[in-house]
Amino acid sequence: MFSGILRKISKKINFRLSAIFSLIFILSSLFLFGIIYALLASFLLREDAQILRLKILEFWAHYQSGGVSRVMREVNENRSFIVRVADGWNNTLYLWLPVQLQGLDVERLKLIETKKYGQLVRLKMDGSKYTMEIASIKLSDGNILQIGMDITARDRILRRVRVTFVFALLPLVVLSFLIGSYLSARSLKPISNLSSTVKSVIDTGKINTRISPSITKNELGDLVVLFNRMLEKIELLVEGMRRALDSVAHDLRTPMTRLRGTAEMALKGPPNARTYSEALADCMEESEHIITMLNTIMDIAEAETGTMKLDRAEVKISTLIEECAELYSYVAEEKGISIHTSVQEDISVFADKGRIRRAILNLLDNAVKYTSRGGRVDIGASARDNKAVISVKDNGVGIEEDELPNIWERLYRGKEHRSTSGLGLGLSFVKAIVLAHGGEVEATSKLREGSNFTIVLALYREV
Amino acid sequence: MRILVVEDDRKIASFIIKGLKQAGYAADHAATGEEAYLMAQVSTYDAAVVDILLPKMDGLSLIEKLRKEKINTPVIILSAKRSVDDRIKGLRAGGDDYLTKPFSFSELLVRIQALMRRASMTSSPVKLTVGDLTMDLLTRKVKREETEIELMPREFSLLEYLMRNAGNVLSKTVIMEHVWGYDFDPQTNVVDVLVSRLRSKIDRDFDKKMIYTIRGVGYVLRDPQKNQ
Repeated sequence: MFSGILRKISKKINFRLSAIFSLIFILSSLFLFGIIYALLASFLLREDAQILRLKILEFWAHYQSGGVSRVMREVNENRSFIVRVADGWNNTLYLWLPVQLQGLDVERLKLIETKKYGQLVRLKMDGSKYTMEIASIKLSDGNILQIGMDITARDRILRRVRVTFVFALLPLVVLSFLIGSYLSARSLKPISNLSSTVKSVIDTGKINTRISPSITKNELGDLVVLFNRMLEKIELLVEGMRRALDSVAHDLRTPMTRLRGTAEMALKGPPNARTYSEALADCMEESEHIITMLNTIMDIAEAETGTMKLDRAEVKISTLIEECAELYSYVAEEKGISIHTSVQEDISVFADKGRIRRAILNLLDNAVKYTSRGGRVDIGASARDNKAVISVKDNGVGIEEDELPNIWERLYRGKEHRSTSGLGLGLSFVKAIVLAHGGEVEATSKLREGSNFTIVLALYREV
Repeated sequence: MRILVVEDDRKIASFIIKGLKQAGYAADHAATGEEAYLMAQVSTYDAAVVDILLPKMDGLSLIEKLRKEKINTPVIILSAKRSVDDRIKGLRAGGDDYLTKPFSFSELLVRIQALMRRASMTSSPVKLTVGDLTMDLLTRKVKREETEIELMPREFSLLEYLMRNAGNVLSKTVIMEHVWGYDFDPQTNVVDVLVSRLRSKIDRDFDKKMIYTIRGVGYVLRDPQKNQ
């Protein structure tokens, strides 16, 4: 259980970062301490060695001038030093031990080998904390002079330094671990925010949640901003789809009611083949109407949410407009309307031909529908500022100024044309398709003078 | 002519089979892909209508399986999906045509007949004749009872399409697709206007009418001598 938690914790980035941070801290402190300690120790050592060297030279001079008795006299001035004079066979001629080193066994001084003469030899007194350093030299008459000093104080200082370091290091390590985890937690905050937000989105399905942006302007901050942008885009998409679904349900209710009503009315009356066939024909027409509507609504929804796949290629505008005008030529002739085309040659756009054609046909359809006998419809296209401007202009009934902004909305029908047949989807389809192509739509109109609809698309340039 | 209808929805299947029988074809029904697969191995069909969404073995796998066994019966796919991708997927699996639900039976019939014509490889005729109406496809001359009739190009292609499918009701959508070559649902009566112009040239000066309007369904060209 516990080890499981431990394993889990140790896998967290936060923990790892703090552990690495602390380890680096320990190692670098150790290194620093090592250098300082070595410097200090060697300094103290050298200092003591210097003293001993001076002392031994001093006593050597005394010995030379007055022998052992002179040495004995000098000892009174240097009571803190060990002084021993021995003959050539290492028999002690004179020994002086300072108070704290009284218990020292002389044999240990005797045991210092001849080859170590000239060096400093370290001795530790048995059963006590005292430590000393001994310098020995062979005098010119074959006797031996040994001078020693108590270095316990030095050792104590060094030991205290070591202990202090260890005791200071422990809380520092803990502190550094804590600081490390705080810092890494702080810098990882955007990530934990991110995962908690994603979790809440998954759990609650609420896509309007956003990650609180961190103040820091680093890579993680950028990630958060990007993630929020993505959430926004998803929200837009889902919202669009939901709206499309709502409106499909709403838009289909009316024709479905008509369909149902027609069938119901026919069945309610006395059985009559003529009534039945009339009603069935009405039902057929109504269902055609519903299918067309459904398809158009789906197209609009796809175009609006950006999920429509456009099959783009170079499209020559002149051909397209000729085709459209040709389709309506008979209808126009029948209604006594003249259709004129004026297309600047060699204009091309990069577009889905079928869909742009449907957009233009929708505009043309409206123009023909709302223009009375003897009227005129102009389809034109020209290049302007790297844009292809396609316009469909009529001198028909026109649109009231206050209605103009609403005409692109789905199912909007002008006040005066509520009774005219039509889906009310034509213009929203045009707008959705053109916007999906990255273009723009515009409409200007004057009541009883006519309307002018324009589609603006980027010109196609051969690369 | 024998046609296999693979469709799990009973109502749709029954109206297709009823319509096919009325049009003079024999029709068999299979409700699952496996059933259809067995039936296609036992007997030979001139055409098949296959729904994509079927229990167990779906329509596309059925077609692929049939094609692997070198059964090349022309197949019309029925599907509720109308995106171009789905269409391409269906045709790649070995389907010959693709029809989106909801569809009109007359459109299905026209397409089945077109497929069977293509499969029987009859060389396209140079001359079409329905009753006393003749059309020469080379000289593009149209005559009724020896009277020559002048037609505009679109009127000519509409008449050609009606004559090739004489006796079959053609919906406005199908006419739009065949005469103009693209699909569009015009709010104004583009197709009706063209039909009425054609009618004024073909029928107005003659006693026996040939072009009929079936309200809510479409148009049909009938041989006045035959009792259709």
